[in-house]
Order: sequence, then C-alpha cells, then structure tokens
Amino acid sequence: MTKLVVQKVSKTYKSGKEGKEVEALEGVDLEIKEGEFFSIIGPSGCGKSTLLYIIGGFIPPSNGAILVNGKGVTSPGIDRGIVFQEFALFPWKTVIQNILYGLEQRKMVKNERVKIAEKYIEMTGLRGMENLYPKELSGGMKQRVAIARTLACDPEILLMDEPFGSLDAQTRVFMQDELLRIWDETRKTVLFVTHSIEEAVHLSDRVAIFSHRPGKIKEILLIDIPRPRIREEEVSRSQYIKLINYLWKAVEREAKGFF
Amino acid sequence: MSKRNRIVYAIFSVVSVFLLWEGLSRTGWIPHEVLPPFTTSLQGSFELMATEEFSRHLFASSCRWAIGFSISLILSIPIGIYMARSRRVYNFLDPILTLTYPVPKAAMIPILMLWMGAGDLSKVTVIVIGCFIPLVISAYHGAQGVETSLIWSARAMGMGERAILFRILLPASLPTIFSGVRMALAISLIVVLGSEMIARQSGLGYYLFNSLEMGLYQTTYSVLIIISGIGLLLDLIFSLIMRKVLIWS
Repeated sequence: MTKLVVQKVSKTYKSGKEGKEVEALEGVDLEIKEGEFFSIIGPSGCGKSTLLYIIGGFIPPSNGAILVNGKGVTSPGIDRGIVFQEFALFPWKTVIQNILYGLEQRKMVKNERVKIAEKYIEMTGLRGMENLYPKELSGGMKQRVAIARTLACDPEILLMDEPFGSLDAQTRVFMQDELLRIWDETRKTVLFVTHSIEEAVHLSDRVAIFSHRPGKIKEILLIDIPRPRIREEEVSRSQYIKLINYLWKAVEREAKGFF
Repeated sequence: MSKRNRIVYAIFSVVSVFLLWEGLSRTGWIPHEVLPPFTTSLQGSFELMATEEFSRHLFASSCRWAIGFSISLILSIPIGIYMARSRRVYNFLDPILTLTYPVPKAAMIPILMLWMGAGDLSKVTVIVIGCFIPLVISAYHGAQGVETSLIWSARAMGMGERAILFRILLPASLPTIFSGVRMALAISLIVVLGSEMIARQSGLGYYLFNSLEMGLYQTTYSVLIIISGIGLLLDLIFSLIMRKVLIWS
C-alpha cells in the first residue's frame, strides 16, 4: 500500500539582497510504500533536507503536493514525526519529560502516557537515564531520546534528517543497527536523508539519488540485500560491494558536475 | 576562582569600604555631621527599622515596587516573545522601543504625575515603563534564539501556536529572560526611590530625601544602608530562584 506520495514538488526561494531566485527542488516525484525504509542521498546542498521539510509540512512547496494515505497535507501533523541531526531536544525537560511532552497534547490518562513513554525508553535503551537533562547526555544518547520522543507520538511516517550526521564514527555505526532493530519492532514508514552511502545501503529498502541544484531524483535503486542485515556478513557480499560502488559513482558524478 | 575564594574576596572588598568610611569619619578628615561613622549609621539603621513610622514607609515602597515589577513582567515578556514570533509586531514595536529607550525614566515622572496625579498610579506606571524595555528586549532575544528545529518538533507533536508560545518559546528563552529580569530589578529599585523623591508622600525615597533636606544626615546614611541591604537581599533571592529554575542549563 502506498503511504506517501510526493507529486511534482518544486521549490524556489529568493536569496541574497537582490532576491535572486534559487531553484532548490525541481519536479520531484516519489511514492513510498507503507513500512518501507526509504533513503535519499546526494551532495550537500542538493535540497534533500528541503524536501523532507516540505513533506513534514514545515515549509510550503512552490508547486506540487504531498499526499499521506491519499490525502493532501499542507501543515505539520502527528502522522509525520521528525528527527533532526542536532537532536532538537527540549533542554529544560528531562529524558522522560521530553518523551512525555508530545503525549501531553493528547487526551489521555496520565498513567497511559507514562506507560507509552516507558515502552519507548525500554526500546531505545534509555533505562536508567529517565531523569537526566539533555546536557548530561552524549550525542548518541540524545539521538535515542529524540527517536523515542518521536515514536511515542506514534507517527505513521518517520522523517529523519541526517540523524546520525553529528555522531562519531563508532556511535554512528552502532546507532544504525539500533535504528534497524527499532524499525523492525515498529515497522514504521521511514524517510531517511543522509549523505553516507554505506548508511543508506545498510538501512534501506530503496535509495534515491538526488542531483545537485536544482534537486531532483536521478535514480531510485532497489537494495535487495536480505534482512536482517548483519554488517559483518554484508560487507563481504559482492551484491553489497556492487551497490556501494554504483552509488559512489553516481554521487561522484553529481558532485563533479557541480564543481 | 573557587566559590570560597569568591566569597572571601567579596567580604574583603565590602569590609574595606566600611573601614575607609569609618576611618574618614572617626579621624575627622570628613566632618562628623556630613559623614557619620559607619557603625553609628548602621546602628541607626536598626533603630529606624524598629520604628513604626519607618515600617510604614518601607511597606509603601515595597507595595509599589511589587505591583509595578509584577505588571511589567506579565506585560513585557509575552510581548517580547510575540515580537520574535511575528515580523509585523516586531516592525511595529521596534521603532517605539528604540525611540523611548534613551529617555530617562525620571524625566517621565513629572509628566505621568500631570496625567495621573501624584499618587500611586503614576509611581507604579513609571516602574512598569522603566522595566519594560530591558524585559521586552531580553524576551525577544531569548525567543529569537530558539532553534527552528525545536519549534518544528513541537508542531509535529501537534502543538498549536499557543502551546508553542507558552510551552516552547517561553521556557527555552528563560536563561536570556533571567538576565533581563536582573537588570530590570536594579532599574525598578532606582525608579521607585526616584519617583518617591519627586512626588513626596510616602516611601523610602520620601524618607531618604526628607532627612537630607532636614539636615538629618545620619538618618540619610542609615536609610542608604537599608536600601543597599534590600538590594542585596533581592539579588540573592533572585539568584536562588534562577539557579533553581535553570537547573537544566
């Protein structure tokens, strides 16, 4: 079943003093299935994050439409949760309060809210940290809180904007596998923006390659590596190596075309 | 510098001023009538505080201050946050703030008295005006500095504009707002005393300047000691509250 449709989405905005028009996105078409893990890769500044924000309803497209379950959306909604690279935690709230904050918007008994929060604390491995403030957490832990907070609101689509981009290499690899495990438990539809090719291949069902400005989809690649994906086995598969090499070349072409 | 060292330095600096004061007076370098010794003035402060008349004046000032300060907090913080949220509100209010900022608040007291009479209304109003700008500006800067991703996260959780103002922008701006409140605290004390000096009816300012005009210099110094004591006390209470509220930052 199709969950999310991006229909001929374009975005131009004025930049600088002269108000020169910059074309960030040009006619992007996408269809993402329910429960699919879909990644977008491309050189920095190619507009992939802009597309994510348009899908989130945070910024309006200049043209085109976003459909969730066949219905057009133009503003943010609880059906689409978002996780940012810089975590965007509420610093004045503890870990559990951060997770509860979104739930407080719903009509729900307090006990029920706490039960949901506890469930995601368990799932994201935050047990024992419930009462710490964000400033007391490492980057990886912060991102766990952000993921738990977003999942607690039970969105249908999880939008992730380079969520592991500011983590160190080891934490990053570890968090990727944690995300796969959590995704396996929840089976949410995930739209994942990254510029790491390995990350996209390891996580995704399909990967879209974005071209440089104006951003549009060059190609969509099916990642037919069987799941569960175990990194140690994966890296020696010829299928994996072929995909990585292919993507490298495609992205490199885009980057070169720009420089 | 460690906390203990800081306290030692603070005590040292204050004590040295008191010693200088005591010395200048006791040795007769400055005549007694103009500068009574610190110890005598301090003793006078305690005696003053025991009198019913002084308590009445202290109470009058405290009420004006508390009302004026509270009103300015309630008014200006939402306005400052709203300025950060709406370009239109900002563009409308910013020129007014810029124009009125350099006007000395003391200069407004006679004008306000002309409009509102010499009573409490004009005094409270001038406190509100005096604190308004630093508070608005701090709230504006605080809310302006809140990351967009925080607001977007909240919107994706289903928060509306109202919830974003009160549940995101307000708490996120608190560290900046607190520095504005501290500034406003000092301004408000100065303005209270100033307004009571100009419109003489009651209050600490009245008492202070009355004693000065009547040549009761020792009383003047005693009142000054009490005023700085009050300032210190308020600042301590403020720091305590701030540390408690901003435990997360």
